[in-house]
Amino acid sequence: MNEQHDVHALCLDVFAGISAIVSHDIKNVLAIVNESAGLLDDLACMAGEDGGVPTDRVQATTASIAAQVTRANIIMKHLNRFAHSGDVPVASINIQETLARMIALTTRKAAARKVSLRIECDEALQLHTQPRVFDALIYNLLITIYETFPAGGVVLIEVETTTEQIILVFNPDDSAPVSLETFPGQGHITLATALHGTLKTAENKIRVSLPAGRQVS
Amino acid sequence: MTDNQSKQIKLLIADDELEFASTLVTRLELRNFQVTMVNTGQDTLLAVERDLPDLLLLDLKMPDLDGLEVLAQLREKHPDLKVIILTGHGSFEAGREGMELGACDYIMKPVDLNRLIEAVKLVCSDG
Repeated sequence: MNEQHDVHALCLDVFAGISAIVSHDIKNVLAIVNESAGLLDDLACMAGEDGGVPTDRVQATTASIAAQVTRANIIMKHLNRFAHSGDVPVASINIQETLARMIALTTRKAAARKVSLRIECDEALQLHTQPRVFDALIYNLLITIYETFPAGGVVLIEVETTTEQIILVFNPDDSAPVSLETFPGQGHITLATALHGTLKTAENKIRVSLPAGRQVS
Repeated sequence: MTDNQSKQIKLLIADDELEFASTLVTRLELRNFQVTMVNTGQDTLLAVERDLPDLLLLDLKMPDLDGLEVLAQLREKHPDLKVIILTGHGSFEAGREGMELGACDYIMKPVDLNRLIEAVKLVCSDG
């Protein structure tokens, strides 16, 4: 098995992982809409029995349906952008937007462990890279963080720039020490290497250094 | 909408989707079930200790404790507690796993309320 095959397999795993999370989220949205529609039907039946319509409950229920539609729309927007990450092998991507999207797509996993993330990055910072592989690397890092960091931790993602590199620093708070047994894992190294970058742990931080390429800020 | 037969059935719903759980509570209450809800695995264990329900409707994916872990822990202290699994999973595998841990049935989300009520009554009438 060569390196290109490994990267391809890792990217497929990421597509599968994200599909699982998103389909679960959408099923939950549908479950809420289904119950809300059922409740509206119940209220209509009750109105038929005693002649009164509890308008506040009807309005609360329709508001709930609208909120779920918004929730599903946001999830699908992120999924669509992620799905198009493989459209071209190399492209300029907005780093902050990409990090925010991968965090949003994995929110369910983060919430399960009560891990929260904060991004500190120049809003306009772009990276010329392989978008699909970059997404896969970020996904793998996030999932390992969710699975290995203590529940309730906060992780700050800082993006530093030099003339030659863009460095992503995953900086957990004191309650979430980086385990050197899990970072960097083989998958992280394979993906970082495919991006011509490096991944290191030092001073309780994870540092991903990528070539700046045609960096634009 | 009322159903005297179901008046005595005490249900506990454990699901981390607050809006789903609270709406289901309302709809089941309208049908004269006595219903309470919790939103985490730990709270499920505590709620069962505090007030043993006739039947637990248990979501498989919850923060802190997975539904199957909750089920396994409950089985040790309350081997006779009746449990129906609620699952948003696309496959039947997780539900089947729950059945192996002693759940009486599993129901896929979105829930068909009539199917759920039938299952609840059937399980509770089994003694």
